[in-house]
Amino acid sequence: MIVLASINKETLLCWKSVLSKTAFLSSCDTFSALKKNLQQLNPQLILIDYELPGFIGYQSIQELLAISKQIKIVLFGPNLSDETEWDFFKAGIKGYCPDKASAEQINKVINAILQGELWIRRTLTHRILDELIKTTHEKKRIKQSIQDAIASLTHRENEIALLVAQGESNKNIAHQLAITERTVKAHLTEIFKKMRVTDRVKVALIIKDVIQSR
Amino acid sequence: MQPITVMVVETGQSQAISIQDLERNSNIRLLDESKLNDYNTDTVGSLLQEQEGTVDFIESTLDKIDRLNPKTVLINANQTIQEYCDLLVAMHYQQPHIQAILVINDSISEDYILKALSCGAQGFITNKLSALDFIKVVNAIDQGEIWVSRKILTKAMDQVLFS
Repeated sequence: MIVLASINKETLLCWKSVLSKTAFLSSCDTFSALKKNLQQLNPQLILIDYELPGFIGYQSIQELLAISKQIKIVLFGPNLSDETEWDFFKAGIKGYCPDKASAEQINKVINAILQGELWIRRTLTHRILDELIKTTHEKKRIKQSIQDAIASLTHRENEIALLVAQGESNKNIAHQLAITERTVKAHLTEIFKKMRVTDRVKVALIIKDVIQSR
Repeated sequence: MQPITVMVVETGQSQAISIQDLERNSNIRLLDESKLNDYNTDTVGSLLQEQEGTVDFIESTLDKIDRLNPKTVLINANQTIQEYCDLLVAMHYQQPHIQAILVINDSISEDYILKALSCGAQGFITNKLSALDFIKVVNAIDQGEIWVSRKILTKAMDQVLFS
């Protein structure tokens, strides 16, 4: 199922002619109707005209993705600046196509996106790389700071953090380590401080993550 | 028009890059220290043979980049992944303006390509690429593009959005 969203009849006709072999097509002429279509029909692809009434840019893309994470969105519009077009990709579209694209080009775009590819201008590709490097660097930094925090735990704090990760209650931890619950709580306060978290669930998640990545 | 200067980082002869054809294009200039005297493509240095260990390899490559100041570095990536990723990261931080292209073989995994991209590689070519296509890739990367398949680009974008 593919949903076509445009108020422009010529645009809809052009899209329909490109997709004439697609059995299931639906069209709508407002953004609110598009949202309803998305909820009811669960399409795999939607084509949106930039001029669609009610469409307000990145926010609208995010609204659609909040309804269906799997939906593939292709936006058709005027020649946008690199910055604006890239922001649409960061919002989650899978392709951007100039509204004056030929039927053949539209066909290529749709086929590529249905096969799980991204349709992005080559001149924008370096932005993916920049973001990828930034993201990777940030992940490494977070990983390192977690490792540092764990390394700063004392032997006893480490034992307690591991037991917290196993889902043990303060009472059980106190029993297993032959200490009082009050002491467990004091150690936990110190663990929270060192790991910069506010609750035991986060401690458990971090420790489990570290154990799994070893 | 300024020529695109290319430096080759070669670590062995098993996957030699065909570089003779490069210079037939007036837009690309191959840089090599041996060329300063009497350049012979057979003498493209085997850095790893001269050096011991990854650190030396990275340092000597960075030194060579400092001396030759290329726009593009062509890395013959037939060694272990980590060596090239370490080199790419070091290059990205010390010489961020330099474009790195990895020469890979067909059997390379997508995960490796993604890892190398996240370390700063800007393009991947196979050693079977024709000289004409090679020139096209070098020019495209020089224009600021990334040379990977749409499939890999999509995966890279997914990592950016969902990691």
